[in-house]
Amino acid sequence: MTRRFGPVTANDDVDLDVHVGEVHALLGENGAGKSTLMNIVFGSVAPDAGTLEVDGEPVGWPTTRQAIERGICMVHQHLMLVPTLTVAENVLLSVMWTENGRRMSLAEASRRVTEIGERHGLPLDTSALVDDLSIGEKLRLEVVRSLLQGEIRGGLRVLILDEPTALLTRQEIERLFTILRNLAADGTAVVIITHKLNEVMEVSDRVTILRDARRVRTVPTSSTSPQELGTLMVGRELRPRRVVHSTPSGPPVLDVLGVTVADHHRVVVDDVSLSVRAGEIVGVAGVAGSGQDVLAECITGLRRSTSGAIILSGRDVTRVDRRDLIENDVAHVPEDRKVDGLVGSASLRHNFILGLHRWDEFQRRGWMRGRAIDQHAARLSGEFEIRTRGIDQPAQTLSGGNQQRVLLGRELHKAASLIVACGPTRGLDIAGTEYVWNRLVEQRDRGAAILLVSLDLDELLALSDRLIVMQGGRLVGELPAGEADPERLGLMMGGSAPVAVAS
Amino acid sequence: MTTGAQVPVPPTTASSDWRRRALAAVSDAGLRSRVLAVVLALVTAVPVVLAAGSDPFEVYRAMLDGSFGSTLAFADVLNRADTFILLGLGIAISIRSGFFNVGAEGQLWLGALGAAVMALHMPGPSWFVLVAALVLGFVFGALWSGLVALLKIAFGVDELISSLMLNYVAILLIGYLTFGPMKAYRAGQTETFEDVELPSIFGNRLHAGFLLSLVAVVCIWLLLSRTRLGYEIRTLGASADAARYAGIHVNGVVMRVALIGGGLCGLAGANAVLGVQHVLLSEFSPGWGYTAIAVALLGGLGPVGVLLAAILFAALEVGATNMQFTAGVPASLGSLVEGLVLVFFLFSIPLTLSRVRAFLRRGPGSAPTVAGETD
Repeated sequence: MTRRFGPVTANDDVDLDVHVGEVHALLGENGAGKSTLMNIVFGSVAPDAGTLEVDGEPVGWPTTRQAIERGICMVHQHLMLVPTLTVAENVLLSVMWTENGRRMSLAEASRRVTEIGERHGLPLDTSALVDDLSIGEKLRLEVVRSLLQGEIRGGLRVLILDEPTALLTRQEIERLFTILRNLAADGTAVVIITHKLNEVMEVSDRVTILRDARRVRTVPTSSTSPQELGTLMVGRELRPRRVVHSTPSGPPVLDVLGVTVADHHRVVVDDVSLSVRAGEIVGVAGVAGSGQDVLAECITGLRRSTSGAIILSGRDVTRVDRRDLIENDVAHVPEDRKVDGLVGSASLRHNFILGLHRWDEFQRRGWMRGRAIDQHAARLSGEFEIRTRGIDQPAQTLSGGNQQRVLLGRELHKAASLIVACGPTRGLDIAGTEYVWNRLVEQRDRGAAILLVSLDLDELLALSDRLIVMQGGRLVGELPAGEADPERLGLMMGGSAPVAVAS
Repeated sequence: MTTGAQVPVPPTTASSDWRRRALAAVSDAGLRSRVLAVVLALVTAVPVVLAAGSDPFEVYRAMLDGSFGSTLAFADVLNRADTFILLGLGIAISIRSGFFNVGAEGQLWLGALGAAVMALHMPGPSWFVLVAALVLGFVFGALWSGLVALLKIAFGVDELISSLMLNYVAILLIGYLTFGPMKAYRAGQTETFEDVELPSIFGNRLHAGFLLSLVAVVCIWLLLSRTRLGYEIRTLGASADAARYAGIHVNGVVMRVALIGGGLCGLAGANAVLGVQHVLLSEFSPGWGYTAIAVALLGGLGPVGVLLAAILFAALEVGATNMQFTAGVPASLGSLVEGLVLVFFLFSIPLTLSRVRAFLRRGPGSAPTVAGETD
């Protein structure tokens, strides 16, 4: 059986074929288009163009229901289960009819779940509440449900799993992989979406690498290596590295000492220590969700750590109010400027003082000083060369690059001793990226300590004087700028390289 | 939005996100769609008037006469408008901060209670009692709304639910009081307090409550556009994440907004009993606190817009009452038109939004995505 589609502009002209009896890995960084591609196949996203063939016959783009009727099922990254219902009830929600068109009863759903469980080695207590299941069991339930859906339509032909291993333990992952290989052997085409190199090597027969919404290559897993995959995933086209790295020797501005953060009893940052000196850019690398964003939230006072300490210029700021931090010592370029760094619907005038609005310069005894605010906004608009109709223009009507300049202008105006920049060039074109990079280097040369958190390896390699790698909430490696390259970083981020620590 | 080890924030920020988007649409809708809504409402009511066997032209002229036709009628309109203005401002400022308070009705009743308690029991010169009654009305309304904010901040209770439920508590509380401890010779009302009343201005029926509401319009305008608190309110209302990012103490702003907004609604209640009714009835308000939500929305959640929308709604109600006498069509026609105005106004917003959506649907990520890639 073949599924083929292309050209798809949603994923830029991607071709993919998946064969019966294989486990096919879809590898790529976040935002590479893996999930979108599979959501198209499953019918929950409509493509702009392209064709889909099942068993060699062209078929129209399906709705989700049609996809299921053709035996195509998907286990989403965020499991689609109702926690307050039992296992059998959850199955019944999506499998309402039996083969001969009768309404399925709860008893029958329960019986068939048990039956499938026995046949495939996926035991489930059908009367248990989903809320009480472990994550591994929930995933098992999703797989069983897909199998039952397939069984009713004459066989599960394609099973898509979107990053199923993110929350599993090592043992659970191994069990899942065994099940997937058995399914493939029984004639189901399995597609697994992941960005973890070792998982690709472990489970897949073939692997397709996506980058920037394009297919880079499809290769048999046996003929490739984690190194090659890492390079293909991250990409070779480095932007020009024009930054002269510095090796500062002053005292550290920022000291993070054994910071641990638990979120809903899950440790998301695990005993991380690092320091950043004045005049130094320290880059934090890691696949998305490795804890780097949470760490940045702690340092900038958006979140409290569970344990550990954060020292800023010799002062313990672990429990200090964010207001105090951002008004004086910390500039923060947040991960997603559209979510929190800017108020999209508000004017530039409003945005240029966001977080600084309590400065005496801009208000006196609770009354805003309109003229001072206007002058400030006009000056920064000029200084940061923002293309705008005026300071009344709403921020969201500016281009992405100009929005980032507004944000950067405001934050750098503070001349703070510490700058925490998270993905500062996300979504910017080459020119915008260069502008941001130059400004950050300028700040470093001024003597600011910069913590650069980014998913963009090119950016990290270009700017960082020192690199730190995080994986699964832990700090797994540290490299001076000279020793880092994309292959090495890619391996460390994916957790399949011997950890190198140099300091 | 995650919770856990982070600095406490109101836990409903994620769920109220769609409300914020909807309200941004309400505030951004142009003057044209507002005027159009009024016109469409008046036109749509025509078949109803015809069904009642009357001439629509006559009926609308009678309504116009009954609201703007004489100084006396217009004074009545403004006396009703001041209630709507104060309520509308209280609601608007709450919603502008993202605090979706629909408890104006309850705060109105509490304000009336506060004013009545003062007017009945406070000794002293009548001007002093009057001021004290207005102040206690404000305070009662503020506390009632503050309770909602407290529930939200401390326990994460959705303010939409708690403020609505507290309306019933307030109404039943006053029912109990006017049939029980505060009962006069007749059950269902307190003693009257004719001597404590808002002075009339311009020598006719128009009382000082209208001036009070105009002062409130100016104050809220200044608050929103010229003060630091106003800046924080607008930031929080546009994006809770941005407010947190800006180091704004979200809970503090929510509480202050609740106190100010609830206070204004309480003041509306005090104003109504002191200016017009001079007694606290068990049937004090016919639901002005709900009508005022429509006023606040139609007014685009801004002080001047609220002022104009309040006068429009007051004219519809007073005009309809007067029309009942001259044209013989039931006064509920006024309420019908009010409702239609809101329906048409809200209807005009999704119409434009759907065009946006249709445009987006042609793009890749806008169809009903089930799972995002980025998290």
